[in-house]
Amino acid sequence: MPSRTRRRSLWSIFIALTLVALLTACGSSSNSSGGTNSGTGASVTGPKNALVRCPSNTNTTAASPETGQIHLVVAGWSSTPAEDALVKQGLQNFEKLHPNVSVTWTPIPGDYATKMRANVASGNVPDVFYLQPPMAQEYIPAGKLLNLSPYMARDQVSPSTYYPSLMQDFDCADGTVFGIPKDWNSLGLFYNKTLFQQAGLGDPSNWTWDDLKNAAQKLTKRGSSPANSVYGIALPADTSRWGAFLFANGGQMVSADGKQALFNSQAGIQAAEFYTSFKQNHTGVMPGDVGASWDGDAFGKQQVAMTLEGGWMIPFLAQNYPKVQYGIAPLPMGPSGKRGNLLYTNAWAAYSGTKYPGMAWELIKYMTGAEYQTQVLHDGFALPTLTSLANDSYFQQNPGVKVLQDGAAYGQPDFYGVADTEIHNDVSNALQSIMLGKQSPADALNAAAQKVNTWIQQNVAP
Amino acid sequence: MQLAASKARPGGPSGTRRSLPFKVNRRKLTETLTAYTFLAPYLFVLIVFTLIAIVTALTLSFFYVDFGFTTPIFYGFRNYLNIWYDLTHDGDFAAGLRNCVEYTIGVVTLQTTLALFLALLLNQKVHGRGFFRTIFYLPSMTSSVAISLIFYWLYQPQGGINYVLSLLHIQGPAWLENPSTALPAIMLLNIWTTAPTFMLMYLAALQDIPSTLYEAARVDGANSWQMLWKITVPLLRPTTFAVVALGSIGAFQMFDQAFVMEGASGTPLRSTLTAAMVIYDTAFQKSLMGLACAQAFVLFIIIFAVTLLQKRYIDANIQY
Repeated sequence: MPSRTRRRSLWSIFIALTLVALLTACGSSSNSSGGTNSGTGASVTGPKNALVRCPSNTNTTAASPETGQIHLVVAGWSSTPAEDALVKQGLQNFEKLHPNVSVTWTPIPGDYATKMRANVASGNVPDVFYLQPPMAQEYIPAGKLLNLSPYMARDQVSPSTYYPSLMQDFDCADGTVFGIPKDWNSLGLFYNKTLFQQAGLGDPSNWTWDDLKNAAQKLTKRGSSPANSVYGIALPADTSRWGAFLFANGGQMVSADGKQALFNSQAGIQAAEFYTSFKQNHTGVMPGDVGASWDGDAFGKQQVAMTLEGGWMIPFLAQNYPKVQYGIAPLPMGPSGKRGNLLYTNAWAAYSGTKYPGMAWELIKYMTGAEYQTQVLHDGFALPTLTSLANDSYFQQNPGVKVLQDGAAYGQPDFYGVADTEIHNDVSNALQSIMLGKQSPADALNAAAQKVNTWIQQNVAP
Repeated sequence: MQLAASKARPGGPSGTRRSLPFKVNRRKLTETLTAYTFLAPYLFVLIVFTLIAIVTALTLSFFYVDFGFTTPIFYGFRNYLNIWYDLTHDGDFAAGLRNCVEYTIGVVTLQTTLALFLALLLNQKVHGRGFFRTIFYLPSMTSSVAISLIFYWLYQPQGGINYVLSLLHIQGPAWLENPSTALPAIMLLNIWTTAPTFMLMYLAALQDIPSTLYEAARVDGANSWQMLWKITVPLLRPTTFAVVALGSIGAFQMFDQAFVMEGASGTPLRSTLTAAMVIYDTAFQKSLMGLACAQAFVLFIIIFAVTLLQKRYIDANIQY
């Protein structure tokens, strides 16, 4: 029975790790304020983030770049070989700028957050690493991250050179900065130009929800089974898509402190009704319905004419379905003429216990600076976080990417504070329940909200 | 044997020593030490990775622990009360346990029957018996993740199974998307992979049944059906207990198949969420180690109770 042995080994790993966690939890609050202080002690702040408590003890000065032979360990993940190559290139360029530094890039395969948590528990943390928003809310209050505000003040890197909606996730309540967004993505309406032409549909750039609904109707051509049908749109039962509709309808996911679910408001119920109506009217499908593993797959196979995805679709389609003629339009406007979008971003951050805080900052500064961010954009891998690159010539050649970039102006991060995981799970389940006709939108969302609120009451540390 | 022999032996050659009560004990001590030296590597692993781990997990279940970020907070029975709330309010752990029970009943019943059936078949003197034994055992030797991926493809709406059904003019469902077919689909996969292991256990047990019993029965005029029900099945009861108990323990802890095929949230609609997946999610996604430990203990107690019941009702000692 392989399942049993696997479980048991998982268990022993987990228990060994918790042991280590217990042992280290008490004695690991040392913050590095090492290095010579060359700053004035001044600080800058980014957008205040009420979702994350500030640490009680953190460095308030900036260390100058260390001299002598320095070895930095840098961790992250690589979703594609292209991403891996890009990061490696960037790190190599950094090494050229700082000949006394050697950098080891150690991408972590699999569950990044879990592996990093184990690293933190054992005190074996990379100097510089990728930081996901849910990680930030754990790492920041516990004082595990290098405070970047003094460094930004010293080197005159203003937080406002980055999109505030992206910065926010990596700041704490008073706006102190602990991570700088490394790249990002938002959602766009991907539409199949060929299928649009056949259905006599024009450019969807200024569509409203009603336009989307009518278009899905026109685009759907049902055959004897889902396999030989074409549907208007692929919409998965996923919080990370529906959220854009919730926001466009003026709704909110959680209260400002993240401790109260608000998605079951009238706006939320209406958004859920609209989002699930496609599946109910058979003008939309979940990707699994047509045997696709995700939206991109269904879209590439031309079984759906539209879907909501981000910039990662561009290299995916180019590689797997190069013949599909598609365009990218902004998400349709809600009933009150408002647009909503979700922003997905991760940051570069440094460990507070690093031996080389000065050099760690230099690395972060380089990887979030104009030179590397331009490469990120030109590689077509993700969007740059610097506002100064918004008018880069790349956008003229790729108007679709420009649409995604514009999302930063009206989108919100797909991160909802303490109950983030619970909200994503419960709302996704609620959407699925509505789509499968098991519950009404109001019932499903109310039940999910109650579950989230109970979860917060029970599990958020006092 | 060794210990008994040394005890029986009279004292050593020296008369003075004979009066000391240590003589025998010292030898005994040496032997005990030798035994423990040989056992040491295993005991070390057992103590560190099992005993200490269990005690730690039990301790942690009374704390709020988040994996090294904050100092643990003593919680008393709060984690267990939260589980009770979860169980009484249709929470995720309740859903996971419910699925586990359904899954265990389905899997254990069918796989035990199938294993016995296959064992009886392969116990006959048929041509190519060795070949069939090997073929039937193959699924058990394959990685469960690899098998899950193959079945994932077979269960797709346009996958292998629906293709075969379409040849019979039956429109197959989207197996893994439908809440009522997803769990049974995983059950089938698991039965297919684990039944052969238990078939092997039954085969071994079948060889142990003395042929004299069958001969005597035949003389008394019993037919094969009667021999199966009156001799084979009752005499296999200890093996059946082992098969059912091991099967139930494995089924209750099911994780990888559902995780690979349906993802961590047990889609669709929690229908493939298992208790082990909830524990994983609590510990690693939500970083609530204390609660996860408490959940693990609740699961352990349930499995323990189920096994005791099975021992009570199946493992009766039958003698003729």
